[in-house]
Amino acid sequence: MPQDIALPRSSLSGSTVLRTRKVSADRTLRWLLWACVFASLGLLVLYPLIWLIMGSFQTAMGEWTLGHYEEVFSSYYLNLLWDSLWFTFLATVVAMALGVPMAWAVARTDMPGKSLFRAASAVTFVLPPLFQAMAFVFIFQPNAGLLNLLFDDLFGVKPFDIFTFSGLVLVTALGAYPQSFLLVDSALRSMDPALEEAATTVGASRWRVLRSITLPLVLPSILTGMNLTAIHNLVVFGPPAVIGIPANIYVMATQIYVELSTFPPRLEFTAALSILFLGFAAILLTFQLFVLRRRSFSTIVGKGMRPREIPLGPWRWAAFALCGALVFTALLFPAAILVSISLSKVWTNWFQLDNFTIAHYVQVLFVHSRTLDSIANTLILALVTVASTLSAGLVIAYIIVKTRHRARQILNYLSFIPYSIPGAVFTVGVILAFIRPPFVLYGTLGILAACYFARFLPFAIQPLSAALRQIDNSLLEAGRVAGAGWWRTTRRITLPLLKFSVLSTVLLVFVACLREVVSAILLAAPNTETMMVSAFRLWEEGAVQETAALMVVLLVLVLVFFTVARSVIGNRLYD
Amino acid sequence: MKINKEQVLAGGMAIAGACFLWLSTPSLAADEGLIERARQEGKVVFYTSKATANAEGVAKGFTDKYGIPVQLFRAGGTQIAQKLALELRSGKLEADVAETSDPTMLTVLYRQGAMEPFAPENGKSLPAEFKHPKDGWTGSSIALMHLIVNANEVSPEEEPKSWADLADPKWKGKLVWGSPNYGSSQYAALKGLLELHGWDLIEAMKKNETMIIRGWPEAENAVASGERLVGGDASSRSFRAMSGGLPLRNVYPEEGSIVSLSAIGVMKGAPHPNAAKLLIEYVLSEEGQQIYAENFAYPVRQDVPVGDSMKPLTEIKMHTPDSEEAVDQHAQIVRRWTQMMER
Repeated sequence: MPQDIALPRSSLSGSTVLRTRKVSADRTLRWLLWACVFASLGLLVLYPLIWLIMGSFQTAMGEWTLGHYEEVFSSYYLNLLWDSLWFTFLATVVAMALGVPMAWAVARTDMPGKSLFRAASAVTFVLPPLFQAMAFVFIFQPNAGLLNLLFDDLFGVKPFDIFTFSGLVLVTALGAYPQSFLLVDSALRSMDPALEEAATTVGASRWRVLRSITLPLVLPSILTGMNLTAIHNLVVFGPPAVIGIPANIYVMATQIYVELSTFPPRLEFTAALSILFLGFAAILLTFQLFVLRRRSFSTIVGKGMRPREIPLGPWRWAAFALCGALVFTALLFPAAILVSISLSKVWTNWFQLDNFTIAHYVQVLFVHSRTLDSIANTLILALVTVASTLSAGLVIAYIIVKTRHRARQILNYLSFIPYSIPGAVFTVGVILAFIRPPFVLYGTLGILAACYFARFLPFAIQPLSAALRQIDNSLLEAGRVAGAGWWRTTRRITLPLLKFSVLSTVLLVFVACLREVVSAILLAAPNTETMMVSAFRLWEEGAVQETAALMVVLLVLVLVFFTVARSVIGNRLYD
Repeated sequence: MKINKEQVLAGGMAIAGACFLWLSTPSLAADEGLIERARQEGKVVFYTSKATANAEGVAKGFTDKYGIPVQLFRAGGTQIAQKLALELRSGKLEADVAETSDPTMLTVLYRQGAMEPFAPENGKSLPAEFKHPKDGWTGSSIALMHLIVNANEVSPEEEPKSWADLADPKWKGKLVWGSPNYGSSQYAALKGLLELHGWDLIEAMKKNETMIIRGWPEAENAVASGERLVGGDASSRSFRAMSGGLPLRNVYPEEGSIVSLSAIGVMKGAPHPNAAKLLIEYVLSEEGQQIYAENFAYPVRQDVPVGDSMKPLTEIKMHTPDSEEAVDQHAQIVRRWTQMMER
């Protein structure tokens, strides 16, 4: 019967049409996504950098000049560069000296209180360094610092002066130690214990094992931790602003801030200054590549096997005391000081009962539109940045890892450029780019979102591409073979497998947005202040109690966020 | 938006007050058109270096009276000028009204063509020295730059008597002073010091290891806590700090306390030009000046009394810096200061 023959034929041709349509829809979708990603990277990463370079050769009127570079290569700015380097180096060394031994004690010994130390370090990691810096001013300022007053009462001397180079280094290191701690702690925990056990079996002493097996194995993590800490210290703004500026000690971030916050603002000169710093940062980065290239990470394998805990005997209480002292100094004491100031009527009257008031919290949370708006702005920015970096990060990581597209290496480099550039420097480029047509974003939340996107995108790409690499291609091919299109494969196979790294990306980027100060302070307009900017401005205005109250609000936000994250992810949070 | 009873009451009182003013002062009748146009613009953006309580007080009074919301930005005068300069470059001006605690910034901006000439009705009776010759700005309040000491630690006998005493080595490590890089009244204070004693005094202050801070309130905190014992301050700040319980005492130097005139003006190309003008009229009105006076600023109007806790200007010797010179030498002075004191 003709109909019988016609039926399969028509159904066959129908499904082919359907399939071709599906494939072409897939292709269009893919093409669109790639175009979007390239366009946004071009606009948000490359365009600001082009303007950073062009601007450094221009006057404010747009005429070409080399004048800025003449000034940049004067002794003052070269000294500043040296100071920045020296400060970064010292703060990094101190932070490592604090973080690495504590990581060993927490990960590998039977010291009590481990989970407390881990949690406290993670909270310290999330808090902006501005938090410690402000609190430490009250504790250690040379004449009126709380501890100086105490020592004066007891011994008649005031031994501490925070407004010095060493004060600045120590406070910065206290805020920076969690970075190396968390990294090394996680490396030590996930280390393959078989190697150490083998060494013990053949009679190596405990010290020998530590020196010849453990240390070499975690060295890459230590170096990575050191590098991250150095990058953190290179761009950190809080301590240099709160402690450095009154002591006339300037580093890169604060110098850029000062150049831009006076009148007339020297935008183009700052661009030239930024280029100088950029060259300097490039040296650091090359060093990292050089050091890390020769190291192999393969000896650190998956979890499951818990390395044996080393019994410290009575020393475990000494270790506990030391770690406790660190956590107390870096987190609990500053927090207590800020809480006490935020609840005082006259902040110079320490610990007097009739001095108690909650008025400053009422001001900050319910009265001042400025602080209220700043809390809202912070949350909006964090959400937008999480969404944008996550979606772009997924696409970029997919292209880099799972395709053989010719442009994928360009994409890789492009998206990691802002990571290798100090935040303040990149932000100068962002101002120069978006203060002029055709993309006038200056003065809007948009310019903050643009800057955050570019700066925090690497935080998303890193874990996502690492996770994608672990997903075997055969899974995706299986999907294809079963007839699923690219989009369906992605949606049904790839994305569900990425769940954990998506979560950790959300956390990382959210935290980065919450604690970001330097970009926010350079970009914020009156109605686009973030919490950190608002706190810093209140500090500048001398509103000590309101500043403290806002910082305590931030601490509460961080604690809530931390508790939620921990209950969702559990102990893997610390990795 | 929820409207509660107080707001209705306040609104009613404001309307009653407005009617009263309208009846009593015929000159305001001409403003009816301005009020109407200002209301149509919907809001006004106000950048000011006044203390937060002052700024919020005037903003609230204005909103209660005219129903026009005020968006406030409070920062040091120099920082306001910096913000304005960047906004002007971007071509997207947010600010309608700028007020700094010294006219230098606004005159500089006027010379760059950024200020809209405006002679407020309520400023007609002010003396000529309280106004820009081309109406680029109008004086809105007065502050005196003087010294503060820690009241617990420094007795009246040992306190510094003059600006020149800041050079005394006995104050080494005990002084705090505000940078002209952040606040405009801090520039006025520096200009005054230079006129009285030249750079020698600044050099001596450097030798005395003077702590440099960004704004007078930071100086107050440093002196009140005993971190430093002597500092510069503006009267608009010091009276407030003392009323808040900080252990401070004002010292009016023999050479004269340095006068710093707050100046207010409309930005050229302001998004809400009529609301801007109305806000300035309000600041200069008896009511607006009253709010400033209650919040420790000396009013520019003769008919508004000085706040109770404030020492009347007639009892204080004053020194007024040369305003033309202050503008011409601004960049040069600030640069020299920065290289000397902040590096």
